[in-house]
Amino acid sequence: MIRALGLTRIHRHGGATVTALDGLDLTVARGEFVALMGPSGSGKSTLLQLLGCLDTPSAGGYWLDGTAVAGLDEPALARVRNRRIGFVFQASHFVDYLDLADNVALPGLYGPGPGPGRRRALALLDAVGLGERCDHLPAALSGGERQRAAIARALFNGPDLILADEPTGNLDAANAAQVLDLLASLNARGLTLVMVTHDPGVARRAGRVLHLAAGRLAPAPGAAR
Amino acid sequence: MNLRPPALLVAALQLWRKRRLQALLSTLGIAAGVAGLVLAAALGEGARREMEAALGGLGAGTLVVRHRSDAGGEPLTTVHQRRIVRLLGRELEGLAPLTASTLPVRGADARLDAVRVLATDRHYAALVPLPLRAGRFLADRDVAAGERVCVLGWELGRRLFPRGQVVGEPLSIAGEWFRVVGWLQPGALRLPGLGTLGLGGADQSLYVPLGALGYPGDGELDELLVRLHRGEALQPAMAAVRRVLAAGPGGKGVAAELIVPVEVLRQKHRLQRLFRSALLGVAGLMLAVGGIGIMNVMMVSVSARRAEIGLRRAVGATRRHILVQFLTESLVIAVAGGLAGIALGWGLALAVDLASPWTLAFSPGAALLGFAVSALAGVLFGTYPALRAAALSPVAALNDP
Repeated sequence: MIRALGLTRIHRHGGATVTALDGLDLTVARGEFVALMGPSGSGKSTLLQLLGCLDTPSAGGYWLDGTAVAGLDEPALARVRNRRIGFVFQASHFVDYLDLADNVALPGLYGPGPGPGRRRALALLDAVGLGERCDHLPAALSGGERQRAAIARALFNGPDLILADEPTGNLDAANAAQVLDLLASLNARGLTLVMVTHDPGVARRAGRVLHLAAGRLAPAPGAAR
Repeated sequence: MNLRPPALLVAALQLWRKRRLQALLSTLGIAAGVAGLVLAAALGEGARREMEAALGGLGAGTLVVRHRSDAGGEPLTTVHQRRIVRLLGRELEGLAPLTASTLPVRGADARLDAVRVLATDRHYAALVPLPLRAGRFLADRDVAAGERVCVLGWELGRRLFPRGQVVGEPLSIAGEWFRVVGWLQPGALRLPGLGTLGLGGADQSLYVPLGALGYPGDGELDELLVRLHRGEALQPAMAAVRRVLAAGPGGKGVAAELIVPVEVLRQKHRLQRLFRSALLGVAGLMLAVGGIGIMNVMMVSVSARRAEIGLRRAVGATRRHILVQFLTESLVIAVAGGLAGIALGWGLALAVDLASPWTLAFSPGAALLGFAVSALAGVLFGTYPALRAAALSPVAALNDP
């Protein structure tokens, strides 16, 4: 599903350069549940952004399901993000003036042709237990509800890869468990899941845990495995 | 591009929700600019139509010889008329003599104290457009036989014969009985003040055969309406007419004013043109002010919605989608202003038309121009902010607070 070779991302801030990823190799098989761990600044988020085609690597290659992403132009990258990938962000961004159903249907807006739109959004919201909140504005929702809605949105165009950036980072234990169960159930249905997390307890749900340090894969600190 | 219009409009209306005052001010600028533009166009169109009516109805070779009774010269008479006809020869298309008086008139059910009565002959109807509603105009035999017949202007006919039967009815002019033989269409000869007797005001006029009321003196006339085949022959013809008038039998000469209607209109339009240029300048300024306002409010909107832009990019929006979204937004503000401006300009044009001697005409072309200009302003001033929005990288936009 995912194959990355020598993936490198160098950020330039004025004159200074920061190497966020330094020649990382990574392979994720279809249907896997991979957790990415590591200290702040280790490159987890950068890696997730590269895998999600939000950003392009400074060097190295990335193949998504056999497609060389480096060779794609901007509209093609947008299409990949739209059809193949679902994002769940830590801050669970929403368009603040659209109600929940329209927010969930947002990927459909940029999708192929006029799709099922709100009807599918309502079904997805039902599936994450937010059916009766479909006409609320995002600001009216709790953190846990927002993350569940974000998952519903990630599923809208039927992607085969879900990328989650600390989806439980801002949640209390009960809500975090609910969101995690939801993600795990998606993985059980065959979706590939890559999740950045700080929480070893959360990472334990994953099939495989990768540790990053200074932009490279590193052995697990201590005796985690 | 799959971004559907309703979704675009929902996004575009955000500016109205979030920054209503700024958006409104920009819109007002555009509205004022477009209103000025529409008003200027209405001025131009009005002048054009006035000119066209004058040219179409009278021709470029029309000349009016208006006797000035207050100047102490000799009277203008049928003798002069005959000399002018002879002198102009083949250049002359037609010539109509006129005398005017204001007299009391009594119809079937109504009495009017002061009616403009013009005495003329059949040539008059050939020189100016006088469409008949019913009956006929004066004929040669009316003048030759001294028939007591008359033709009524539309308004006059309505007021003197409210029951509707006009042609064939008897009518008294200063105590003499006349028979109505013709009734004109409404709006005939509606030319703006040209300072002549024979041009304008047909709705309120009554026409009788020359001589039917008796001449003021021996064959005296108030006005000669002259039409030449070619407008270019006007200058030499005027010189010839002046010679005829100067060489009267009495030796003093006839005091007369030579009026060229097309020239009078041109003079009148000169001030209008000046006003129009000033108006266009102000309108351009207002458009620029409104446009810069739009640019400003759009820049603020883009930076306040970075997270939204990042999110939209993350779920599949291309740079073009973002560009179109924000361009739609500026277009909506500008076109809203444009539509308001068209309505405002139209209202102003109507008011000026009613309150001033100028003729203004609102044309669909002016509305279209106003709409196009406002849309252009929206695109022109919205492009830079929209490009800025589209250039944001999804990562940078998402990571922002």
